[in-house]
Amino acid sequence: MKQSYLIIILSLSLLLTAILSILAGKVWISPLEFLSGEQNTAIIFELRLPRTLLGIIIGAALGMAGAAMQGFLRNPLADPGLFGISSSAALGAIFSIFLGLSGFWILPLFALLGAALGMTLLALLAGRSGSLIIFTLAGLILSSLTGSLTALLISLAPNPFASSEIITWLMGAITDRSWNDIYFTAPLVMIGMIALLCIAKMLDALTLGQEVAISMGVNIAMLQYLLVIGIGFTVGASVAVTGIIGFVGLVVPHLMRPLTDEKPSSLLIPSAIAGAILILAADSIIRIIPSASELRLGITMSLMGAPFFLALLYHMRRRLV
Amino acid sequence: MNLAFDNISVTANNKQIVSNVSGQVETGKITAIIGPNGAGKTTLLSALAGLRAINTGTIYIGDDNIHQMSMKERAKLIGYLPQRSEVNWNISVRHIVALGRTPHYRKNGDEKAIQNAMLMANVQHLADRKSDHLSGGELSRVLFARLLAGEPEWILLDEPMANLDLAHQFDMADLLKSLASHGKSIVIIMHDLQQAAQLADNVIIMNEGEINAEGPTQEVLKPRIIEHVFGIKVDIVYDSGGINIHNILRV
Repeated sequence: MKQSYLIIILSLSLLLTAILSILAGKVWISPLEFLSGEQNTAIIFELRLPRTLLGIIIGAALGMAGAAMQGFLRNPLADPGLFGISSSAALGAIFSIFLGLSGFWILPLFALLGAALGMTLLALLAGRSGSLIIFTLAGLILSSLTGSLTALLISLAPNPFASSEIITWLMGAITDRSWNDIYFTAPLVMIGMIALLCIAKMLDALTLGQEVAISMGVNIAMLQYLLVIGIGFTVGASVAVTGIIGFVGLVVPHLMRPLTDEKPSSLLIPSAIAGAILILAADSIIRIIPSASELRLGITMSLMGAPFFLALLYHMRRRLV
Repeated sequence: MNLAFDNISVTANNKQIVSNVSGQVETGKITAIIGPNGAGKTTLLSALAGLRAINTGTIYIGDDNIHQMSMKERAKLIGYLPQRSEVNWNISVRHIVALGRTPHYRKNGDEKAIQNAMLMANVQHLADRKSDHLSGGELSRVLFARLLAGEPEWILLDEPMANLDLAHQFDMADLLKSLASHGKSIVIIMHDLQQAAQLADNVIIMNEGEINAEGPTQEVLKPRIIEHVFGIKVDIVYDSGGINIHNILRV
């Protein structure tokens, strides 16, 4: 499919999903009564609209981050979680809960600091070699280190409320988010997405292997730094306000790839839009399903993503054998 | 604008792979690097392309040190085709060839260069085919077209004939001769001595990280040198058809 058609179709789908996301919930608001009455206006402007916009921002961030990661690692099974940046951000966030610090900016700020620390560690561990294996291993080490430190913080939590708050936060959600969350996330995600779009052509060149890419003038060390910045800002800012929402970065680029010419650069924008659609759709479904307490988005995504991942692996194995 | 390398050493994992080699590669000519496995040919070639850090020495093209050029400048000047082909995503031949324009980043003129490259490498009929549906030989030609699309002055090739059938080997040899006659400078690693003898204007013979002989093909391809380096006995006949290597026997 032509790239421009794909982007138009995806954008229209996003618009429809966004409308559904604004209307759907415990209180259904019909399009006819959209802005009639104070209650509806309040629900829409104070609750639904920020939630929808936040869903779009983090869905786009995670989708594009996943596409960039897969392009860089040249592996369709790669996910931004693999770099350890989301878990570093999560560690930062729960550290603020652990310390009992409150205030709107504290938790996201700590999460961003965690992501920044994770990015720095990753860049230092991976070094300037540009080696794919070292980079992946550095990401895995960071992931397991932050994972164990997270477990440590939960076990050392000063009171049961703190540990329960940490666990709930880790599950990821875009419930009850405000406009402040959007003011915080949007610019950071924008910086990250610009960094990722800057490396699009370099990712294409990498299709022919690192040696050929270098021979075509691609500065691998620069590519690696921009990628870490791009993933750090997109994923770090998303985790800072929503907790960990996995699998978007894995599933979305994979669904989009057959619809494009398969060049990594052609995948970035469609994956961003489709990521936003997926998050909004999943979040709308959560609100519609009747349940005592609302399902967490992070859990829903994992429940949907894990079978997809297994199917993908099975399909790839069959192709290899 | 010859390519001159002086006192080059390359070490990897504490092992010296290329030891203090010096030489000249003439512009507008085809230079073959030959030698037994593990002689350091690939390492030398990638060092000459500026892709490998060298421990000592300098590499100049004309008056320019290739290590002081920007990566883009160097990429425009030197095209490099490694031995191992790698295409990680299932993209079309046209897109693969278009990647050769990476160092240029200009829209005008790109399409013409891409079409020319596909025509020269005889892959224009494969333009819309995806990389997963190419045979090994077709892929080799497509990747060569990718290099040609960059329109480099220097073309460095690591065993480009390895996956080609005989007819396409002849086509490739003709193409390389034609490129050289149009002023392109070609350095090519080869294993087939007969092919090297027929194709190359100059030959560099390497063994154990050193250059054993270099110069015009007729002067360098001598039975004595070949026996010393490869451990095989050959008869070499120079006639109107070029250089012919006969009676190849293991010593």
